[in-house]
Order: sequence, then structure tokens, then C-alpha cells
Amino acid sequence: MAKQAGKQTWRKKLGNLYGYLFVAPIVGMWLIFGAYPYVRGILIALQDYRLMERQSWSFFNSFIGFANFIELLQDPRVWQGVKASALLYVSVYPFVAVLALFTAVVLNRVKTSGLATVYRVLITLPWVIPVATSMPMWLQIYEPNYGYLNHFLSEVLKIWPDPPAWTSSASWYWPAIGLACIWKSFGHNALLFLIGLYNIPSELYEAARLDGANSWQEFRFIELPGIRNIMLLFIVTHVAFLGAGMVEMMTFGEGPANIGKTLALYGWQQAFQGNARLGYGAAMALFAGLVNLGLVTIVFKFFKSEKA
Amino acid sequence: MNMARWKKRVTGLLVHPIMIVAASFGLFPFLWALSSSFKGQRELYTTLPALFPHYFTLENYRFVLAGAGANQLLNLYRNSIFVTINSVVLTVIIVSLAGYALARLRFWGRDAIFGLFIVLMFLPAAGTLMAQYELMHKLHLRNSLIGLILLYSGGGGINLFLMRQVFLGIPAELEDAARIDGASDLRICFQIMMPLATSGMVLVAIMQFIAIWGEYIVCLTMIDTADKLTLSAGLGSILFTSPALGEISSYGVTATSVLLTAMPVVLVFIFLQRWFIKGAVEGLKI
Repeated sequence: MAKQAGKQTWRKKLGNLYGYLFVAPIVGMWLIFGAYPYVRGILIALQDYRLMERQSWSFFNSFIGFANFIELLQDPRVWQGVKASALLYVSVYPFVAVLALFTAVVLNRVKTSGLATVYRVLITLPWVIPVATSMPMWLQIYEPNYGYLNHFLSEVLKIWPDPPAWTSSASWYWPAIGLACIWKSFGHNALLFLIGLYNIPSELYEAARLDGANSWQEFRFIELPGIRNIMLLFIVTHVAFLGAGMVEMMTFGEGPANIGKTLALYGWQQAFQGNARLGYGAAMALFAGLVNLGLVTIVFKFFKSEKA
Repeated sequence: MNMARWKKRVTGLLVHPIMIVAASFGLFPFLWALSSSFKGQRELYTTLPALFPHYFTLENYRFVLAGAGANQLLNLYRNSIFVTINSVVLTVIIVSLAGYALARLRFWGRDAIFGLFIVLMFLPAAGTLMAQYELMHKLHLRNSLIGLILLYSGGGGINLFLMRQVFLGIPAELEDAARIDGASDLRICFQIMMPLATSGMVLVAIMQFIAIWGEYIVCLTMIDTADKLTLSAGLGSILFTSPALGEISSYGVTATSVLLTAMPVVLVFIFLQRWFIKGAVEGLKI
């Protein structure tokens, strides 16, 4: 009798059993393809794991402690990779933030809904198409002989008779890939900001209008505070720069003397190409992840103290 | 007062030129690729680059769709469609069920599970890709399209967050009314709630479609043989051996194949963009 009562409260405590049934697929997929590889990835970073040598796959056979991490801290190519990741970041995201915010605020003032739709679609298209197709498009524009950019500068505007070969020049590589990446992400980030603006209650605008506020004041006192959380989301998702810039570099090219070899790309190449040192690559990924975690934590702390 | 109204009108007029510049910036690379795809070798050697081809030719398209690389391209197209469609369907099902349960059902540990997936979004990356390589190898799912689909269809924190948010936005009265009428849990879920969350599902589907059609690095890591690559990852490996002279130019062939790769996802986005905005506005109330 007592046992049955206990069973019933247990059953009551669990609640609706369909809940577990419906959550099971996502949790199951995550356990197999997310959680397990995540933990295993940390262990691999502690191994001298080489894809070509079968006996090195076992954790106990090839455990080397923190040797991979010690090696990477002394590897000059790792620091070149960190530098490349940082250069890619500063040549893209400050511009994306300003352009996206500006575009969103302007787009929010477009009152014709049909035109607003057309603008929204056109600025988002660069994000929609695969990087593997957008980067070749830019390479063709930058092409020194047949590309449109050099033709435009030297023949149409006639301001630069001898323009450079953008992608193979050490000084123009970063602006060139930077512009392509800005093009790729300003539009969808503008859309993100715009969604934040659409979620601001219209009463706030009406009240401001009654008080005779101008466009700048509307922006400063209604829109900017209204999208604070979206801006936090933007910063948090983009501040993690150290793992970024792999596919872009693979499809755009690493530039003269590999100046564009970011840490993420170098780690991938170490893991899967040449000697295929999976352990060393995993160590680099973990290193980048920890640095990124530090950066995200700092941003959160900063926003918290701002609010207080 | 009059001054303020006048200012407002000026702002209203300024808005369009600014947006036209922004939209042209977004569109220009497409236009250039489109123009290049209609240009032949003759144009590249004899005339200066122009946005409108002087000698319009369809040879590049004929070459890409019927020439030496055509079979390869078609095969990659098939792979991409197979992987993308399956992954989109699987993800929408998984995420909708979980989003519904986390938003509308009461069960022990519910909030902990949701919290877990949100925290996971901020977990630092580690050598997951390296470990996935080993895992898929052991499961005999490496170098297989099924393996790719499984890796792509985990759901993910953002999708789950969006779906849960959409289900939270459905008024409780609908559910209560159905319960009073004697509808079962399953009936309420599939006949009442799921149809009301269509905007969220379409949003998740579009985002997943865009992500998987363009996915590059996982495919390149897992797939060894060129015939199993997806279009995005394999585009660079198609060798369009083009003749040295004549109408076809490798420059034009590249532009053509790039456009054909981007086209499906562009069309999907344009057709469904209304849903995209609607779902995003509902799901991103933060």
C-alpha cells in the first residue's frame, strides 16, 4: 500500500510523460553527435593521435599529457594564425556593426512595405548563398586583367591608372578579403537589428512624435535602448574571433606567403592533411575555444556592469 | 511644428537613395557573375571588362550543362539535394517536438534540459570535428551521405530557442478549450498546436536549408571520394577542361557554375522570405 503511494507520487513528480518522448530525439542526437565528440575531442587533444597510424588512435597508447599545448605555444605558425584571425576580425566586424546598424535604422524608416521587402531580400542575399560561391564571385571582380574593379578604377573613374593585383598583394589582401566578408555579413546582421527594431512597441514612437522628437532623438532614446539585447547577441556571437575564418580562407585563398592562414585553418590542415596529426589539431581547436570563452565572459561582465 | 514635419519629409526622401546604394552593394557581385556567364573567350581578350556583354553567348551554359564536367556537376547537385532535404525535414521534426514539449508540457527536468541547450551555445569549441571524424569512422558512416545527414541534423540551440518561443506565444485558451472538449494530449499537440507553429517551422527550415546547402568544412572533412561531395564543397573539384580558344572561357565557366550552385538557395529564400521575417520577429523577442 505504502509502496503504491510512493509510486504514484513518483509518477506525479515526473509529470507528462509525452514530454520525455518528444525531447528524446533531440537529446539523443545531441548525446551521440554532440556531447560524445565534444568530450572525446578534449581527450584527443591530450594524445599524439595520427590518422595514418592505427595504434596511435587508442587513448592509452598515445597519451602525452599537455605536450600538444606546449608545442603549440612554441609554434610560430600558431601565432601567425592568431595574428591572421585578429586581422580578419578587425578588417570585417567594426565595419559590419556600423553598416548593419545604419542600414537597419534607415530600413526601419521605409514606409512602403513592398519596397522594404525588396531591400530586405537584396541585402540578405549575400548571406544566403554558399561561401564557396560568393568568394569565387569576388575573386573574379578582383581579377587583375578581366575583373571589373580594376577596369572601373583605371578606365571608368580614371583615378588609378595602375591598380594592384588585389589578392596576391601583401598590402591589399586584407582589405580585399575584408570587403568580401563585410559584403557577406552586413545584410543579415542588418536584418537581425531590424527584427529588434520591429519588436519595439509603436506606442513609444508615437509618444516621442507627440513630444516633437526628431529622427536622431528617436534613434538615440528609443531604438538604441530597444535593441540592446540584440546588440549583445551580435557582440557575443562575433567576439569569438579565434575559431573563425576557415572556409573564407579556403575559398578565397590564403594570400601571398600564406598571410591569411588563420589559426582555425592551420589547425584543420594539421589535423587532416600531411602527417594528419589529429591530436595537435584538436589541441589548437581547444586553445582557440578557451580564448574565445574568456572574451565572451569579459563581454558579459561589461554589459552587466553597464546595466547596473 | 511645420519645420519638424518638413524635416520628417526630407528624412523620408533620403531613405530610398541610401537603401538603393546598400541594395546595389549586395547585388553587384551577382550581376557581375551573371554578366561574366554570358561572356566568351573573345570578349575577354578583345574588349575591356563591361557589365553588359558586347558579344552575348550561351556557350558557357551549354558547356557547363552538357560538356565534360556536366555529369559531375549533376551528381553533386543530386547529393546536395538529397542531403539538404533530408536534413531539413529531420531537423524540423526534431526541433518542433522538443520545442513543443519544452514550452507547453510539464515534466520533471524540463527547464534543466532547455537550460542545457542554451548553455551549450556558449560552450567553447573543442576538437569536436576531429572526434566526429573518429566516431563516424567507427560507425562506418564516414564518407557516406547518410552520415552527413546525421551530423547536420542535431537541431541546435538557436533552432530550439526559436521553436520554444513560437510555442510559448500561442494563447493558452486554445489548449484549455480543446481539453474541455475532451481532446487528448496527442490530439492537442498535433492537430491544434503544431499547425499554429508553422511560421516557426518554416523559419527553422529556411535557416537549415541555407546552412546545409552552403556547408563546406564538415563535408570536406568526412567525404573522401569526389562523387559523394555536396555541391558547395565539391564545386572547386569539378574540372571543366575547357578548350583554349573559341567561345568558352574558363572565367565564364566558373561564373556559370557558381551561379547554378547558388540558384536553388536563392530561389528558396526569395519564395519564403515573408515567412522568414514573420518567424524571426516572433522568435526573437528578447
